[in-house]
Amino acid sequence: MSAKRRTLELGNVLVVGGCGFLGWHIVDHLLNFPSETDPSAALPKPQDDARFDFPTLGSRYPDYKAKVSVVDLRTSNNRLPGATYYDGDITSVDSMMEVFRAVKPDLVIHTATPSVLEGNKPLLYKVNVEGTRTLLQVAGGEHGDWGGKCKAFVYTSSSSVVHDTQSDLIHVDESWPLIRGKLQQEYYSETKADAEEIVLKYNRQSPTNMVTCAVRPAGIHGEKDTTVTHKILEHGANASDTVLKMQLGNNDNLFDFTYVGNVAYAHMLAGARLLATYDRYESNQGGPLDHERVDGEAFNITNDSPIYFWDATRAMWALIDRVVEPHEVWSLPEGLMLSIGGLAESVMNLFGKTPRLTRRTVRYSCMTRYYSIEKARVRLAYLPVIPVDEGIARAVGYVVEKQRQDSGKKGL
Amino acid sequence: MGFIGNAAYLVFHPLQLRSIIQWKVWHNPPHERDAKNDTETQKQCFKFLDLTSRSFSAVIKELHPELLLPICVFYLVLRGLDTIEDDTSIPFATKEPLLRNFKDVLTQDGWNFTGNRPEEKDRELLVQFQNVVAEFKNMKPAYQAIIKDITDKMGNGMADYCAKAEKDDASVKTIEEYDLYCYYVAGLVGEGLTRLFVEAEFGNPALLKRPKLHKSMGLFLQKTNIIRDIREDFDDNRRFWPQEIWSKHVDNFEDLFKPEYKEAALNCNSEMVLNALEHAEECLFYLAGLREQSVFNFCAIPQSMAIATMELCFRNYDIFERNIKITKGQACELMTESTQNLHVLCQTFRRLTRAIHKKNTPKDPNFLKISIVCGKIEKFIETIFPTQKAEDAQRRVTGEITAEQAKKREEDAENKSDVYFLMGLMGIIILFVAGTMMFAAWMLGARFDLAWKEITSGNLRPPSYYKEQGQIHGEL
Repeated sequence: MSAKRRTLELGNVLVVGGCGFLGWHIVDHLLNFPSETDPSAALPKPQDDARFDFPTLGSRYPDYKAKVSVVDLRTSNNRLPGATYYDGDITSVDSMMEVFRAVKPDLVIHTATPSVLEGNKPLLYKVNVEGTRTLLQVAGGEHGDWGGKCKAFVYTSSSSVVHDTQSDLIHVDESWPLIRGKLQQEYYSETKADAEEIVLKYNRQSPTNMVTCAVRPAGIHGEKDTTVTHKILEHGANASDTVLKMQLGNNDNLFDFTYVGNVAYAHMLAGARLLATYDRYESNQGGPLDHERVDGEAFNITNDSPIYFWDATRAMWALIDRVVEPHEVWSLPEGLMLSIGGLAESVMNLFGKTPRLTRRTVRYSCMTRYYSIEKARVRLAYLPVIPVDEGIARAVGYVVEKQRQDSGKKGL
Repeated sequence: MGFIGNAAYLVFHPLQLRSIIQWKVWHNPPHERDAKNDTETQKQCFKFLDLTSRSFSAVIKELHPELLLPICVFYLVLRGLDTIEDDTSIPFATKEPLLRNFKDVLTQDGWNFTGNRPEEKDRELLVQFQNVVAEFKNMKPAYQAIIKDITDKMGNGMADYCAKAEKDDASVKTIEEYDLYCYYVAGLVGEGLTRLFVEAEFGNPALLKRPKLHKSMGLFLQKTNIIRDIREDFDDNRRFWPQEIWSKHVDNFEDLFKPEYKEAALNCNSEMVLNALEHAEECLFYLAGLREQSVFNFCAIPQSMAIATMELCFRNYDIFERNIKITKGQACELMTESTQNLHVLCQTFRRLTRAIHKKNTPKDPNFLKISIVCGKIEKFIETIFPTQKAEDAQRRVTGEITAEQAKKREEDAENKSDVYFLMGLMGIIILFVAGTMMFAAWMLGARFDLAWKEITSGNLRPPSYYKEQGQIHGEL
C-alpha cells in the first residue's frame, strides 16, 4: 500500500503483562514490528507455502512513536529487542513503585492476568482484582510520588464480562449489563468484571486525574496463542477421521474470532485517545461530548465478522490437511448431547474426574456469541485491519512451524 | 418438460405444488391494472412488454399507476438499446452512432428501426418503436429527463464496450472491469429506477445519497446471471467471468469446462459467488428505503430470486454443463415471501445464506471468506431486526419483570383459578347426578343396607359369581 500510514504518538508506555500472548503483540506494535524487521525476533512461520504468506503487519497498521517498557512476573521469555524489561509483581505496592520510579510512564497498558486454564479462584482474585487496584493506585499517585505523572490507563478486560457462559449473545453492545454473582458461572469473568468496574470508576479520581478505559476483546487468536488454536489443532491432528466428522449442533451459530493484532491496535487507539482527552482536561478545553467520550468507557473489540463456529475449527484442520467435507459431517443435536454430557459428567464425577465432553463444551460449540463494535468504530475510529481468515492462518502457521522446529531439535 | 412431465414432477414434490397453489390463490396485486381505458399506443407497449420480458412483465404490471407506464417505457427503451447492441450483423460504424444517440430518438415522433437481422428475437420492438416514443412523450417531464439521462449513459457505455471489442478481445480482465461492465448493463438501471422512485415519493431520498446501494442492487442481479449462464455464454463465445478470478484456478478459460479440472472449476465458481454475495447486504439496506408496497415487490422479487439462484449454483458443477434454473415451486415460494415486508424477506435471505454456508467446504481456498460473507449478511439482518434487547438483559440481572411478563403471570394465575373453578363445578354436578340416581333407586326399593353389609364382609362380586364357584366345588 502506498497510502501514507497514520502515526500514533503514545509517549512513554509501560506494558504490564508484556510477556503474555496479547502483551507480546502490543509490545511488537509499539516497537513497529521487530518480529518482521529483526531476524532475531522473527516468529516461526512455514516457508514456501502460499497459504501462510501475507503482506507485512507493519505496512498495514499505523506507525507508532513510543518508548516501551515492560513489566511482568517473569520476563525471561517472549522478549523483543527495543523494549526495557522489568520483573515485578502487580499485587505488591513496593514492587510496582520501584518499576514506576524507573519507567515514569505516561501511559499504562494493563494486560496482565493469570491463564484461565490454570487459574484457581484465590489467584484469579488476587491478580485480577487486587493486582489491578494496586496498579491503578500506584499509577494514580496514591502510594506516593514516583517522580512522574501517569496520564492514561488502558485495561484489557474481556467480552465475557457480559456473558453468563450459557446464553446466546447476538450482536451485543456495551449497554448489556455485567453478569456477576449467581448468574455468572465463570469465576474468571467475575474477576474481570470487578476489575473493569474498579478501573472505570477510577477515571479522573486519582490525585493526578489519570483517565482510564477498558478494552473487551472476544475470541482472541493469532501467533503465540497457546490455548485455543493449540487445542483445536491438537484435536485435529490426533483425532480419528470418525471423531473429526462429529459436530455438536447444527453449525448455524455465529461466533466472534478476533485477531490478536487487531486487539493490540485497539489498545493503541484507546491509549492515543486517552492521552488526547487528558490534555484537553488539563488545558481546560472542556471535556469530550458524551457520544465521543473514551475515558471511563468500555469497548467491545472484535474482527466485526463473526463466522460459523465449526467453520473456524475446520479451517484450522484444513490447514494441517485434515479436511472434513460438509457432506461427511455428522451433526449431533444439542439437546441430545447436553444429556449425554450431563451423564458423562456425573459418572466421571464418581471417579473425581471431568470428561472431555461436558455440558459446558456442548453449549459453547452450539452457542451464538458475537458482539457489536459500533461504539469502538465511532469513538476510537477502530476497524479490524487483519481479516479473520488471515488471522486464523497466521495462528495455525505459527503452531505448525513451531512444532516442526521443536521436534527437529528433539531429533538432534 | 412438457405438461405431463411437469405434472408428474409436482406430484412427487407436493411442497412445491403447495407453493404454486398458494401464490396463485392468495397473491393479491397491490394495484390491479385497468386495461379498459388504455390507448392504442399503451396497448402496444404492454404487448411488447409481455413479448420481451419473461420475468419482469408480471411485476411491472402490478406497479402503482403513477409509475406503471414510466417503468414499462423505461424497460422497453433499454430493451431496444440492448437489441441493437446484441445484433452482431450490424456493422460497428452503424452501431456506434445509434447507441450513442439513442437518447435523442426518444423524442423523435415516429422513430423506428428496421436494420436488425431477422433472427434477432426482439426485432419487432424496434420496428414499431414509434409506440414507445409516443408514450415516452406523454410522461411527466421529470420522468422523461431521468430515462433520457440513463439511456444516454448506457448507450455510451455500450458503445465503449463495442469499440473495445472491435479493437481487441472484449473478455473481462480485472474485477474492476467486471464491476464496470455490470454497472453499465444493470447498475445504471438501478440508478434510473431509484431516481424514478424518489421522484414519485415512493422511496427515501437518502437512497440517492448512497449510490453504492442501488449500484449493488443491479450488480447482484447481473452477477447472478453471469454465474448461472456461464455455459450458455461460453457456447456463444462470450466471457464475462473476470480473468483476475478464473486465472487463480485454471490456466485457460476453456479448462473450466473440462472434467479433469472439476475441482478447480468448483473453486472458481465459489469465488464468483463470493464476489457476488458481497452485494447482498447493500441490497437489503436499499430495500429498507422503499416506501410503497408495489415498488418493494418490484425490487424484492428479483433479489430473492437472485440469492436463490446463487444458492442453486454455489459449488454446483451443473452450471458448467448446462443451464440450470430454480424450480417453479421455489419461484412461487420466493415471490410469496418477497411480497410481504422486509422482515419476511430478510428471513428468506437468512435461510438461503445458511443453505450456501452448509455447502461451503474447507478444501476451498476461499472457505473462510465465504463463511465471513455469510456471517456478514446474517449480522446485517440482526442490525435491522435485533433478536435481543439490552433492556431484557438488564432486567434479568436486576430480577425485574416487564409489564408484558407481569401480564402473562397474571393471566397464568387467572387461568389456574379458572381450571380449579371448572373442576369444582364438575365435582358438584357429579355429586348431584349420583345423589339423584341413588335417591331414585332407593325410592324404587333398592336395599343399600344389604349391599353395604355384603361389601364390608368382603363379598365384592355379585352373588351369582359365588353361586357358580359353589357349584364347581359341589361337583368335585
